[in-house]
Amino acid sequence: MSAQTAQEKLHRLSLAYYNEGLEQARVRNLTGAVGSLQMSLRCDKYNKDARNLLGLVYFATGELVSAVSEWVISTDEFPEDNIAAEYLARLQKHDSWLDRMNGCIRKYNQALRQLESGEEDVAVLSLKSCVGTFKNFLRALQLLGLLYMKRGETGRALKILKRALEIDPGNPVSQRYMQELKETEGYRREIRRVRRDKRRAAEASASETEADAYRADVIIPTYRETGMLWKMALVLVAGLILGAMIIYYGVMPEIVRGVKREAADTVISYNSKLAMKDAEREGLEFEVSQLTQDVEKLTAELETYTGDDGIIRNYNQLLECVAVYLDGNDLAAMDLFVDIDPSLVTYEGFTRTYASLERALGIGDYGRMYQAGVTAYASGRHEVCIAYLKRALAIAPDSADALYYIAHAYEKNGQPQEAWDTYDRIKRDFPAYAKIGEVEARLAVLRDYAH
Amino acid sequence: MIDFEEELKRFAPAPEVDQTAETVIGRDMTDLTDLLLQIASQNGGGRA
Repeated sequence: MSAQTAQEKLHRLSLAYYNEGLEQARVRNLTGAVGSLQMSLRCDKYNKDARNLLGLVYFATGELVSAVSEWVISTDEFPEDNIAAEYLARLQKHDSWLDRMNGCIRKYNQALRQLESGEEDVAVLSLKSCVGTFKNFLRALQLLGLLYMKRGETGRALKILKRALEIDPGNPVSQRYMQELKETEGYRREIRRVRRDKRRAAEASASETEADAYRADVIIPTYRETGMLWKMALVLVAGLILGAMIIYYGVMPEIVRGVKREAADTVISYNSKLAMKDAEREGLEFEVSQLTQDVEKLTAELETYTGDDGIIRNYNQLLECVAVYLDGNDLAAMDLFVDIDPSLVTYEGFTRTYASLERALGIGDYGRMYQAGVTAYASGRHEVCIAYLKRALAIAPDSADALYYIAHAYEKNGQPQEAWDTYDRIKRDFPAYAKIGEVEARLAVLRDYAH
Repeated sequence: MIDFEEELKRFAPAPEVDQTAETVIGRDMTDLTDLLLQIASQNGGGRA
């Protein structure tokens, strides 16, 4: 395999991993998506889409620096027409948000240091503060969940791990912690407590509904912390940015794929139509071919009626022959008769008339036929001569004289090959023929036609 | 059963935003295509 082929294969493999990563990201299997996209980039580091999407997946799990790094590399490699530049621009535009998130990262790192120094309570406080602001900082949520589990605070651990699993349901660390939590007695107690609370809440809600009917007109003043407004706005902005990014990379490719699929379907549809048209065209061509064959067949059939040797001509010839015979011109009638081909006509009336005329003209008489042939030859009617003498030969096949005149008639009629063949037949079949010398002389003259 | 102390040790510090440049620069960007071309070059095949 050449390096170029292998390079192309790696590029295709990179695209395949990218597609897999995209599908995983769409179903929020972020851990799987990270693995696939990293593999995609290991095959081809210039796969821009894979790098940008990897950045987004990192961003969704709170891996801010990893996300930014991917986008920086991406924009460095592809400065033009790159969505990563837009992501970075948005982050820079909201630098105060970025500062706060960075502050959360610091708190997480601080919590790790505090844990090292045995300050677990303080570490929990740092992490609580961290995940309170940086909602999707997965590793902070996992660490806090683990600490709650360690401290036996099952309810809090459950709440935090649920959040972690909402961000990345397929994350093996979150799943393992959750599984471990579910096996504790604390978890079972917690579940019972939650169910009890829900039941009580449902009962309270039922009595509340009754009470509401009485105080429908009463306006109850509400109180909100003023600080909540800007926090909500901040979360909203961050959510919008993240949502837009995920939509761009999670939904847009699907839309694009949808459009491509639609285009492909259209192409398939057109191809099917074309295939049908082709089939129709081939069918029509076949029909035309069949019709052409039919026409040729009919033309040939018609030719047997109307051609020079056709049936109609034979009918005409027979009628003319009868007419000439009735006029008393037997010789002219014989000339016409020998030129009729009775094999072409099967009509009984024709066959009967032909046979009657044959008897009347003495066509079955060798001497009459031979004489008529010689007369025709003498008068230069070579074709008629041949016809008479062939009939004479049919009656008396051993007539070398008939053959001799036939050969001459062929020669005079401009048919040297047929002439040579007939002379040769005389020489072979009748070597003692009286005119064999003349036959050999003619063969010598026509030697060019010898086989 | 989770060994909490061991599990806690698995958590590594997260890079902060001002470490982005270091992260990018320190990244090993070699991909399989690079390795392939390197092997092809060593075998005298040159760049495809």
